Amino acid sequence: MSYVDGDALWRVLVASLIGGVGIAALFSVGLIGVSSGRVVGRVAGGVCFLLVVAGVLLGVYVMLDK
Amino acid sequence: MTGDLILLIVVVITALSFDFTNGFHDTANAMATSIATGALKPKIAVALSAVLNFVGAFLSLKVAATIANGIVESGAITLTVVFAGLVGGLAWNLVTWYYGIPSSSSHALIGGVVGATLLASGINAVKGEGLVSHVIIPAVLAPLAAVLVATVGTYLVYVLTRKVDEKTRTRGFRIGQIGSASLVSLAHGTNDAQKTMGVITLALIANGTITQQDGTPFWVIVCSATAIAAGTYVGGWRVIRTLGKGLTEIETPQGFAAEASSATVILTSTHFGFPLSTTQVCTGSVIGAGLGKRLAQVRWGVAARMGVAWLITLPAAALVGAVAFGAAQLIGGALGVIVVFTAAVVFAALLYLASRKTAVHAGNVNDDWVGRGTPTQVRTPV
Repeated sequence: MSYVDGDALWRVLVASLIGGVGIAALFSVGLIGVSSGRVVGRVAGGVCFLLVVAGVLLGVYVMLDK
Repeated sequence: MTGDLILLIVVVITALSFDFTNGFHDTANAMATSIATGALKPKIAVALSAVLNFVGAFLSLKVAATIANGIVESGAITLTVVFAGLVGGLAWNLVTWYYGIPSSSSHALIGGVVGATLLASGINAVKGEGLVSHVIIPAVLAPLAAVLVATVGTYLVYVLTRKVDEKTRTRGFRIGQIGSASLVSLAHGTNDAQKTMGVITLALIANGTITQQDGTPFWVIVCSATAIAAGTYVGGWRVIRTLGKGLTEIETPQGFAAEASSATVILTSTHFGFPLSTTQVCTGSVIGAGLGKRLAQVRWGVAARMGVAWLITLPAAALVGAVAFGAAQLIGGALGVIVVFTAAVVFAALLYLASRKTAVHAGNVNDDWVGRGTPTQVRTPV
């Protein structure tokens, strides 16, 4: 008798850590980029923000797919 | 009007009332940090959250006509058991709101149904294994997972942006925080409004009003979405204050990291079929946001108070559910249910009146924390 789905739990922990920390880090790097004052920095920052938006869209997809 | 129809109407009204309390109790989950950091004005925050909860309720309409699925035997679920379970969940939501404690509405509802089922059908109708795997283990894991993600996220956010000028950093994280909080609100509407839709659909099937194949009527979807959105807009300011100001003092980078953590943990747990309580995840994230910033202080006394409330959610709601079922059965018929419903309304009204003595509202929700949920009553010297 198993009280917990260990496989699902493991996936939730790893995916949450990668997703949550990843989005926080990407957003931070985006802020560094846009505040750098250089064109390349702003472009890199913009790419980071786009990736964050992609993460949000993935979240909405998960809700719709439930 | 037949007794069965009266019973059905009372169950539907009770379910929508529960949905309303679910909304105002859980506004804090998404918006407490945004309000605390000033990313959003309090009234704007609850309005945004209400709209997103309403929209979220329509996002996925695969409604499961169940209550406490996998925890109590489905054959033991009668309309009176559903009603008594809702009263148990409702009472726990109101008491925890009064004390400003974030608490899982789902666990409260499960507790209420378990209590009513125990009295109605005996201990064999309750699945102990389901209770442990669906409620107790997730209740321990949800905050721990969120604390871990938010702690690492907050630490990284501060390390990475230490050279970014303060104005850009604050403005940037405010925008990010609004986005991530909105995602949590949307997810909340999707999950929690459907819970009520499922309960009402189950009641309609049990009464023979619709069949299993008919699916959830549109009016049920609209009423459930409206109830949770209205509750969210009213704003459970007492809980918002505890989560936003009581656990730790939050700055915008912490608020962003906390909301990003909450959204990710909630959505990944939904995706992998290991549902965790939104409330417990969000509370864990706020604690993690406090731990991740150097020299930030987490008020462990407040956290411990929440932990105790989470421990007793199930037995307390079960007790009320059992008493509600017992009283309804003792009086008998539709009259029994009406009497219990009236008692629940009187209890709610008395609690509301008591709360006015130390009211928390949009105007004082961000006042300095003074060791309790309600702001200091500043008296003018005579």
